[in-house]
Amino acid sequence: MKQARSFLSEVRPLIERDRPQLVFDLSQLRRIDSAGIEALLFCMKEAARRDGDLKLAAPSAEAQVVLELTRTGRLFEIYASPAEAVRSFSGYLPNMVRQFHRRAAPEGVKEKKAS
Amino acid sequence: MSGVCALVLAGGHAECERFAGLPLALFDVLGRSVLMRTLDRLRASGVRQVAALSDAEPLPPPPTAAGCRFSVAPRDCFWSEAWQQFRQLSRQAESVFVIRLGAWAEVNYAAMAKQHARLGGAMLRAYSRRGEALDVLVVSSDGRSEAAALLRGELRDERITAAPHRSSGYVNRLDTPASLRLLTLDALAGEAEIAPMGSEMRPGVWVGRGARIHRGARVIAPAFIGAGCTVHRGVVVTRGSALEHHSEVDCGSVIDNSTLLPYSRIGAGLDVEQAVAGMRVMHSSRLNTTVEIDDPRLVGSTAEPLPRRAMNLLTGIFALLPEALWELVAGAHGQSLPAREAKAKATIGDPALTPLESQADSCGEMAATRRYGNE
Repeated sequence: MKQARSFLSEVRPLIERDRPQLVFDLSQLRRIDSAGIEALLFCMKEAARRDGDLKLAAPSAEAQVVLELTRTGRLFEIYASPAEAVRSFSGYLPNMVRQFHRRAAPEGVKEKKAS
Repeated sequence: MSGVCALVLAGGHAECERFAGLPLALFDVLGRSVLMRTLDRLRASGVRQVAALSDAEPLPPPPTAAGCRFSVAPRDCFWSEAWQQFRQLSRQAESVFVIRLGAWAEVNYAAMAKQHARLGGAMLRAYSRRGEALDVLVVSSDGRSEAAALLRGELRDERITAAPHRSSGYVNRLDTPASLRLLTLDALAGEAEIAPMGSEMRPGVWVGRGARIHRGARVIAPAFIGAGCTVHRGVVVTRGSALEHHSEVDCGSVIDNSTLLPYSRIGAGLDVEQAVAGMRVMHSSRLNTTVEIDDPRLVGSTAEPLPRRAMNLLTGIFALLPEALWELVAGAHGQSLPAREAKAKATIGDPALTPLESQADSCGEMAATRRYGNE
C-alpha cells in the first residue's frame, strides 16, 4: 500500500494535466497487489475525468495474472509495446474536442474526420 | 503379497515438480493427496509395511495410515536418508517397492510383484503404455548394491539395468502445477482411478463433510467442494473446478477450471481461471506463469492465526473508506479535494472543454463503453 501511495504521488502531476494521455509500461513489473490495482484504476478514473486516457503496455506475465484475477484487465486498453500504445493516442480525438469543433464550425461545414 | 514392503518418496527432484515449495505429490487431488492415494493403492495390493519419505513438511493433516511410517528429510540428504530407509525395509521383506512421486501412475502393484518373483532378477521397472520409464521399481532385498546405486543415481541412472514391466494404467507425470490440474480433471471425468472424497450431492458435484455452500452460490458439474470449505454468496464454481479442504471463496468470485489448494482463501469479486491457487501463490495454466501474491485480499490462507486475519479485515475496511477521508488521513498533497478540483478546472481554462460530470464519475460506465467501442 505504501508503494502504491508513493507511485500515486509520483504520477499525480501527470494525471492532473489537461487531457492527460498516459501509457504505463508494465514490462518490468514483478509484483502487484490490490493496492497497485486500485492505484491503476484511480489513475484511469482521474485521466478520464480530465478527458484523457490511460493505456497499459507490455504487461509482464505477473501483471497479466493479477489483472485477470481482479477483472481489471478488461477495463484497460492493453498494447504489446509502449510504442504501439503511444501510436494509438495519435488517432484519438476526445469527444469533448469534437463537440467543441462541431459547435464552433459554421453550418454546412462538415466535421473533419480524425485520421 | 507377503514379503513385500514399499518405500515411497515424495520430492527429491526438480523445482518444476513443486508448487509453493512443496512437492506436488503432497497436494490434495479431490480430497486426498497423491501420496496418500498411492499408500492406499499399495495397501489394497497387499503391501502392509510402507515407509514414506518427503523432503518437505506436508500440509495438515499429516499422512497417517496403518503400517506406514512417515518421515521428512532435508533436500540435501534426501537420497541418503532414502537409502537408510531401504536398508531397514529390506531386512523385513524379500523385495521392496521403490516408488517416487513424481508421477501418479496406476500400476498394478500385485501383478508387478508377481512378475518380479517369477523373473527373479535384482530389479524390475514399470513402463507406461507409451514406453516411458516410471519411477516405480521392485528391488530384491539381496540386491543391495544395485539398490544403493539406484538411489545414489536418484532413480535415473541409465547404466542400471532393470527388467521391464509394461503398465497399461493411467499415468500423469505431475511435473508442473498444470499437470496437477489435469489430474483433477481426469479424475472428475473418471479417466483416472481417483475417487472424490465426498458425497455426490448432484450428478457430478461432490461435496465433502462440513462444507458450507451459500444458497446464492452456483456450483456447476463437474465440481468438487472439499471438507470444511466455505463458498459465499454469488460465487460460481464451474468447469471441473476443485476446492480442496478448508478453502474459502468470498462473495462474487468465479472459480473456472481451477484448483484451490487446501486452506486457501480467494477474496471477493475475483476471477480465478485455468489456475492452481493457494498458499499465496497462483499458477496460471493459460499464461504458464507462477506468481507470488502476498495480498490476503486476493489469495490468502484460512490457516492464518486469528489476530492476523482480523488485521487483514481491518485493512480491507480501511481501504473502503471514502477517497476524501483516505486522502485526509494520508495527507496527500496537503490539499482538500474541492481545492484540487478547482485547481484542475483552472488548468483546463476553456469552459467548453470542461469534462462532463456524467462522463467523469463512473469507472463502470467507462468499462461498458470500452467493451462496445473505443470512444
